[in-house]
Amino acid sequence: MSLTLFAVQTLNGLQFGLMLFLVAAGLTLVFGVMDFINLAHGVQYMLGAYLTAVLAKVTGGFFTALLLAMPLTLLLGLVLERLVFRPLYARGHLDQVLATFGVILIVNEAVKLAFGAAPISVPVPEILSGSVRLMDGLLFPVYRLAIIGAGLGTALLLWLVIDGTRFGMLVRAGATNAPMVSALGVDVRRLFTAVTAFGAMLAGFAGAMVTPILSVEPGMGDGVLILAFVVIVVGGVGSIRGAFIAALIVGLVDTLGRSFATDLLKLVMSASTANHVGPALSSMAIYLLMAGVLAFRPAGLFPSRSAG
Amino acid sequence: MTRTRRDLLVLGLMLGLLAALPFLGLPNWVLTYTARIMAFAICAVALDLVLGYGGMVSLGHAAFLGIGSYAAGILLAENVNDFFIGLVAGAGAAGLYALVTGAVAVRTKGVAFIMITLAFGQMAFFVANALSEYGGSDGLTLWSRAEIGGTRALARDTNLYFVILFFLALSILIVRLVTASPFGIALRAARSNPERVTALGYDVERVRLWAYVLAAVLCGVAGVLIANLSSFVSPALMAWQRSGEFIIMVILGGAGTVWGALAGAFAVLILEEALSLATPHWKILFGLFLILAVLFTRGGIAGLFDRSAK
Amino acid sequence: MTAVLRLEGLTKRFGALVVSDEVSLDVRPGEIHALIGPNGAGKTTLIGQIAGRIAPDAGRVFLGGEDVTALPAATRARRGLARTFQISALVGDMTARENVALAIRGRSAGRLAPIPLPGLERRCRAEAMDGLAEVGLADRADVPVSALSHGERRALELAAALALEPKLLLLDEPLAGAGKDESKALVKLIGSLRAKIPMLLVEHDMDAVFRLADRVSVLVYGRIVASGTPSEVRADPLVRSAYLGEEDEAC
Ligand SMILES: Nc1ncnc2c1ncn2[C@@H]1O[C@H](COP(=O)(O)OP(=O)(O)OP(=O)(O)O)[C@@H](O)[C@H]1O
Ligand SMILES: [Mg+2]
Repeated sequence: MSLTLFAVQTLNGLQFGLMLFLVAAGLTLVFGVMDFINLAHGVQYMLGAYLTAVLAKVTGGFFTALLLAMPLTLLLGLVLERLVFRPLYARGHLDQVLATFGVILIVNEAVKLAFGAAPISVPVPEILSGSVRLMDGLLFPVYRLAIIGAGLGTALLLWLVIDGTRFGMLVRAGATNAPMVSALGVDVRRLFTAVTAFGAMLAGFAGAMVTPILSVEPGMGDGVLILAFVVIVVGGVGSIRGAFIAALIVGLVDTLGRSFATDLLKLVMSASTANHVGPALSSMAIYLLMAGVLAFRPAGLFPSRSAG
Repeated sequence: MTRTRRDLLVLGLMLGLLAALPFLGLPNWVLTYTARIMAFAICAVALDLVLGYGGMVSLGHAAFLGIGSYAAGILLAENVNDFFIGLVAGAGAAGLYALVTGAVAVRTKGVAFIMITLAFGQMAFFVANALSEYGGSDGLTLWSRAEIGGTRALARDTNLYFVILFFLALSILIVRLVTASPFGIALRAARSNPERVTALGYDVERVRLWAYVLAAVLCGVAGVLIANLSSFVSPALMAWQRSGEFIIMVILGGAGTVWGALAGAFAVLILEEALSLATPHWKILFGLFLILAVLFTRGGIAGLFDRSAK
Repeated sequence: MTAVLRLEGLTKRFGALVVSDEVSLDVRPGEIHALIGPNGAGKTTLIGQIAGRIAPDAGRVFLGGEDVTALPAATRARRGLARTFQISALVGDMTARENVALAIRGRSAGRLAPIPLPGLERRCRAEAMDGLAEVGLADRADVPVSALSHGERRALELAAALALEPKLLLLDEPLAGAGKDESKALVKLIGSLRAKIPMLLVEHDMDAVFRLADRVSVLVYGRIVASGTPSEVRADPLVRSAYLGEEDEAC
């Protein structure tokens, strides 16, 4: 296991974690503020990716596509919130699970209908193509660095919004004590709509950013959704700070686990056993991490509600 | 108690009908297809214990089905052919996984419980994908069914059909007995008021955990049966969408009525089959159906809880 | 004689708010110890810590001389610590009798039978009927909780708590929501139980408190500011100004 490989995989893990954060951020707010379980959040990620991929083909420019895709994902988020989510806020979790599961089925299939089941690939934009030398023997793709930068930038922006604006104050208050916010005379419905749409756009942005490095295909949001769940549960439901830290941990553990678990196991067992156990173990790593955290802290690393 | 009597009557009628099916001279595929639905119905009945009676929205139950079928499949692949060994292994493995993951999950509530069960389900899915010796993501083809007492009795579809029907009836009996027991009453009571039930001396988390484990054991049994029936196990058995499907079965059938879960399993799987004959993009219709059902049945689908409570 | 319940320096904070401030008190056999105090004083939170629902930040809880501070709520309940809730908390979709039966089975909830036991069920039913009769709900046995009146729910709360055969009863505003006649009946019932079951009684109805209590402690901002016999407490100038002031004038 060489140092350069370790450095590369650490950067990859960071990049993966930041994308997870973008998906998890909106979702954890939706849970925290509205106690609403939205399985369809992964769909927003997929739609962001598809819109960007398709628009990039049409317009020929990745950045134009990205710029056009963002308001569209916001709009789609608003539409879904209006048509499906809003009547569900007052319902139980079971109804929310069923209806948003229905949304996943519809959108995944509709995307297949519209764009086919085959994966679409998007070329890396010209100015961000190629690699840079970070240190001796360590080449890293510029585009992935750009994703890391964009992810960090968005996280910072999010932090500024949540920490420094009235909207952010309401969201934070809502995550700790929703009835109190409505008691303050705030139009909670508009707050909910804003949070949902905003979260949808963040997930869409994550989806858009990964189009040049992942294949765009139906159902691509489902796996990300479940990883985002792991992030949220580990970080503490409703906590943005928790989501950020947990996302980085999950991203790093998953990426490093996949590349080094087998090698590490070879130190303690025979090579052939390690070759079999390694992949299985590394695919379990983040879930074991989740179980470990929850065993000691059932409410996650940063519980946002004060009550037990 | 006319309500209970009517429930029992409906249940008896349904099981009687299923027992009569092999004698109606129907084509073989009807039999194997029905057997498959019955195996899934075992999962729905088991989930009803957790979801309908216990009020725990578990989104990871397909994993227990998958673990059961992998246990059976791996044993067959390793030439351990006895059906009962497979059964014990499948049920035991699923139960053990539920015990370990459930111990973590039952300490949480609400959305966290849903997310955690989903995540643990996904973990089993990925592990199955990583089992390269046993087919990895392609799945594992089994060359023969398990043997009972050294005979190849299960090779006959009709025999396997009756074995599955037997376990379906047994699962229903078990769930009925358990829900009427002091344990089951505590489980039901904790659904509507866990704090009160705790104050009365019940360890609510423990009660929930054992219900979760029992349901997983039954799903494990279903997995063993499915593996034998289709002579094939694959990670797809434990895809998280299947866990969603189980919930739909329980809720559409009417949570907390036992025969409801059975009816729900048949309704959902036959509906899916019918829709898929109509269009390859049937999932759009199914999803629409789901959303409309939730939004426009009075009080949501979960409103059925009130109707079926007691 | 050892106290049935003893609290030693119980302290609980919610953020910066100190809800229990080194609370020490005891409940002795055969007595009703009333805990009074203005809204938000921390009475319910204190009950929660005694029952094991809320973990204190510091201090200890002794039940019959045994330290139970680390025991979970369910275990404490099985050791004989029963409570009622300020806001009636019954199992809404079950009948009155089923709620009492649930409490009866709760006594042996450490080991729950996973199959129905008809003999046990029959005994449980009969005992539940007796319990309901004791609080005057015999004719409401098969009514679902959701159809009971406020006062009836209060009585049922008490019946369920008693069915645990408790060594100590924590009553959090047992009269809240009950009508005049219902209150009178409840006060009479609580008084008649005194010899059998010592109680810690939280109640805003001062008439009831001074009729029932052997000792009264006053909690203000999480701190016990006075403690003594009802007449001592009533005479305490600090208490009069902090809490009883207006009430006394009104009388
Ligand atoms: N989980 C909690 N988190 C934060 N603050 C809490 C919590 N529970 C109670 N409090 C606060 O602690 C204080 C004491 O509450 P508590 O319910 O114990 O008062 P009380 O004396 O029972 O009042 P009342 O007479 O109205 O029933 C209140 O200010 C309340 O807002
Ligand atoms: Mg109170």
